Amino acid sequence: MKLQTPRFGEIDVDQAQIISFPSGVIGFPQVRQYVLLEDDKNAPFQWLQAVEDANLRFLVINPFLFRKDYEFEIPDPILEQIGAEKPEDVAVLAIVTIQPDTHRLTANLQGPVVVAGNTRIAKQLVLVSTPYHTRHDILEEMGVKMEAEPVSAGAAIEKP
Amino acid sequence: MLVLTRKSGESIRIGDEITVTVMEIRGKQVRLGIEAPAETTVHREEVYRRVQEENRLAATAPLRDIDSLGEIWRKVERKKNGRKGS
Repeated sequence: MKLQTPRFGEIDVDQAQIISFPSGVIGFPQVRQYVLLEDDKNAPFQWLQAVEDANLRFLVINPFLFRKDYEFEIPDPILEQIGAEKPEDVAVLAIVTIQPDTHRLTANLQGPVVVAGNTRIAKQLVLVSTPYHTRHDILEEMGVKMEAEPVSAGAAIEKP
Repeated sequence: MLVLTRKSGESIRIGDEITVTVMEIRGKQVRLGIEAPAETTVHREEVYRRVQEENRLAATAPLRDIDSLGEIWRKVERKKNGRKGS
């Protein structure tokens, strides 16, 4: 299947690569199929690219890369819904926002995306009674003070 | 919107499987008890909305020209490792 993406141009998507979200990503319930794309220049960030809507994509990251202690419980009915037998079968992605005003890279740790490895069925959770929120500053969480960063990322954002 | 008046202890049923009960009314606050099938997710509206809005923001930022995140990441890792070593 061919897919026209704004970032990578035309890409070939194998049916086996598709990750399905039976209830969509929150706020985008109609879009059910995505692929996870690697991006050499931006690794370890990846793109969750919608298959049905080429213009819809999310920058994502494995949250454990910057928060080793990140922790939440996946309720059994959710594991069942995505077809995972145990939590170890589940991959976790955090959706990243480049904040338009401050250009900071933030990750939504309150709404993690869980993907069952065996079925490739995914769901975005909303954590309740959790210390996590929707805007964790990724570089700050890594415990590094960067002066005037990420300016280079911010500079690439088009001003409206 | 359907609007119903209920007293403390009274319930409403939504579909066959969801019951919402007014547990307690105290001043301006109402405590609700919700019984729903395990696969039904129940959220405080403002929390759900915050996640939804963050998703919209994440999806709308024009990111196609971004290609320095890997560089930033490596820089941060180097700084972090350097500090650990000192």
